[in-house]
Amino acid sequence: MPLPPHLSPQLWQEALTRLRAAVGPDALFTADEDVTLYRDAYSPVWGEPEERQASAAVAPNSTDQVQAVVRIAHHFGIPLFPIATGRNLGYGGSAPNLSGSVIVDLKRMNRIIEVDDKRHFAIVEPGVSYFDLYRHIQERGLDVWIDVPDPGWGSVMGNALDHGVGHTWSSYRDHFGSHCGLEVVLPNGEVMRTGMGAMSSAKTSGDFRYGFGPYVDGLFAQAGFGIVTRMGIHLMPRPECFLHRRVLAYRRQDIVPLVEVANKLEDAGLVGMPLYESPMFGAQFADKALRDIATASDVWNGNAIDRYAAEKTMPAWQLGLSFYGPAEVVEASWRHAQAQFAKAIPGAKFETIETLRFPLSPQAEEEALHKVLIGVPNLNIFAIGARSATNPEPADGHLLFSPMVARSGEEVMKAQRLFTEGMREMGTDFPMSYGPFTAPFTWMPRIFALTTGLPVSRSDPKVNQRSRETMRKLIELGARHGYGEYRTPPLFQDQVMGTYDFNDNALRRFCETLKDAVDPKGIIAPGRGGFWPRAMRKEA
Amino acid sequence: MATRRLFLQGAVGTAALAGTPAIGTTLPANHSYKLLAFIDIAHAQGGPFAAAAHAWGARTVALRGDPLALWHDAVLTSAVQPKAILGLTTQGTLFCLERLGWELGLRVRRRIDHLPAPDGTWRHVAHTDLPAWAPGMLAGAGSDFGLAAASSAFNSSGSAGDCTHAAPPPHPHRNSTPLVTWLLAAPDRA
Ligand SMILES: Cc1cc2nc3c(=O)[nH]c(=O)nc-3n(C[C@H](O)[C@H](O)[C@H](O)COP(=O)(O)OP(=O)(O)OC[C@H]3O[C@@H](n4cnc5c(N)ncnc54)[C@H](O)[C@@H]3O)c2cc1C
Repeated sequence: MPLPPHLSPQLWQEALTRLRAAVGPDALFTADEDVTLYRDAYSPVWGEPEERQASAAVAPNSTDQVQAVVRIAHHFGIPLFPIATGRNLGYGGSAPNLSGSVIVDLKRMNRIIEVDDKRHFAIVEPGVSYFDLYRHIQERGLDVWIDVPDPGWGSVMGNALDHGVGHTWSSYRDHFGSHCGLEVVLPNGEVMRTGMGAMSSAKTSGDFRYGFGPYVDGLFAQAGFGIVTRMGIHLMPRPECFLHRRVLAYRRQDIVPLVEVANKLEDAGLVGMPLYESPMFGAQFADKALRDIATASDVWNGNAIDRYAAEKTMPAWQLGLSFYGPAEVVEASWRHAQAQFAKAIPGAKFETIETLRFPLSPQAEEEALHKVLIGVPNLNIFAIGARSATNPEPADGHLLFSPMVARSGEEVMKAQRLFTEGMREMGTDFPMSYGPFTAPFTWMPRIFALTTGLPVSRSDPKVNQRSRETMRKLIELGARHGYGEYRTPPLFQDQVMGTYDFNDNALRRFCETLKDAVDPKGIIAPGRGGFWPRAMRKEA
Repeated sequence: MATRRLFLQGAVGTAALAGTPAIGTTLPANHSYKLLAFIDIAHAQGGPFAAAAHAWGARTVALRGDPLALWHDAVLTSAVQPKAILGLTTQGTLFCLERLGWELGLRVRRRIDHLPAPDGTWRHVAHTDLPAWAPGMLAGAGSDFGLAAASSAFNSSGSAGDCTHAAPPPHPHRNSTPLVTWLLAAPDRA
């Protein structure tokens, strides 16, 4: 494994001795067979010189130990890379931005400090997974729900700090947006609390996020300004009932009113995460006639799609709607929603998918159709469900390209065409990637992600090279048209940050100025977020 | 969860072992270690695999794709920490279990991928040496390879290696689900 940059082997040994003394011999990992576990299994540069690899890993179990680790690293000039559970697959896994960094693995800090089911918040350490928090709530019969990402083994904190997302109500599924108060070890080893936690006597750090003065919490997400050791998160009260219903629309242009009505319902607080799909996406691989329509150059006018939809009675779009709340309220909301869609989309049809009343029995929970919609952590996404037309080798992994697209049907169709034709011009033949049936994801509230996965391989470097090149071109193409990435693996973070170019990249320059002031030696995750301290900047 | 475990109670039986080559001698030398078996019962091969694992003294845990809650119940909060875990699952489930196993110091020590072809035949790709009889036994079993897979994974005469981060073999048939037989155990430390 590589050594930290610019550190002699003697000083490295000295640093390791001090780290071992700080955390105990069992919590420092230096053997290759242990450090290799921190490689990014989804790395698009697997086994190549550009792969970012750690020099060692250290696993403190308290804020005091994190402080000790940071102070040692500061003394020796060793870059650290903090991870919570380190399962950021698709966005870097547990590998650092800079080779030779020491991973600060916070899995052992897994205390659930508080769950309040009257004021609806939790306070957790980094190693608390969604599953841990869920079980804690279930076992105590607490009256709150959590919002979970697809993989339920991740960290409540780690996911939030990479702007991760879930699947329920808009105010909960933006996980960083629903965090409330941080405790952070700064690059000089000092501990700071934000929000109400900054007032030692306050008991409201899980309730009120701002406290007083500038709101600095954002600096600790997708960035290297500190190691977060504690975080509050707002939770949703457990609803009485969940309805999952579907709207079917039969013309390509119907996406326009479909989105307009759904936006209105969601922003008024009547529905949870809208789930857009096109049944034609999968159908095109079973019916050559539909695939021919999808790949014809005039598909964008929608005529052939509309004809096919009418002939086969197959919707061009479908929209899943989640309702949470008291039975009479959600039934009334659904009736209201149907009336709105029926008025806006002639010929729209409606389907009942699922109705659940809480609490569920273990059997009912196991049989629930889409567990993440009801906050139940699981790993189904990696099992058979992940093996699909879009993700043919799930066990090998994927890169995610997630451009942010404005929440309108017109923008969806425009972006579909841009990326479909763009990939064709790149000569990249990923038939599953983009096309006229690509539906927007709505994980992040108030914006669409027109996400696609590009395959990566741990056995075939050619696959990785092709995906890397395609990814770089897609980032560039998207940015030219105003579609920015919200999250990306380390390999692409400099490029993505570069696309946020207003006023000669004022945003990046501001982050660099802060980094130079707070962490000039680049001790905490240098390069994270696509900016570096002066000494490590490329032009330096 | 209870229902999945009940399934396995039904699946366990020595009758399924008839015809297995020298099962008695295939027990690992160090048989005192506590064994667990995770088996995906959504696949027909799961039943015979479970029966074999049970007959060898393993505690069998049935799943359908998602191992998260079962891992917590059968491993993390269990009074007895397993020394080794074997299984027959999808590759995606193994991907998860491999990572969960790292937390307990376990590594994938044996791995045999089972790749279905559209004509109903299966190809078996081992990442470490198998006992000499195993490839023939697997090939001869057709789609009914659960028992042969369990025997191959369990047998101590084939060397256990280190399959950490092993890449699944290429599989061109996108609409079929490969399975994988595996053994998670502590690595040999220098
Ligand atoms: C099939 C699949 C489906 C997925 N679905 C989703 C999904 O639905 N939603 C979603 O959001 N993601 C999804 N992901 C991406 C990812 O797996 C999850 O976001 C996961 O929760 C992130 O890993 P983690 O929770 O272990 O966080 P970590 O890997 O621990 O942390 C993520 C990053 O946050 C920073 N960080 C972590 N802890 C600290 C700390 N204490 N101080 C400072 N910085 C820190 C680090 O930069 C780290 O790299 C998916 C991935 C795959 C492969």
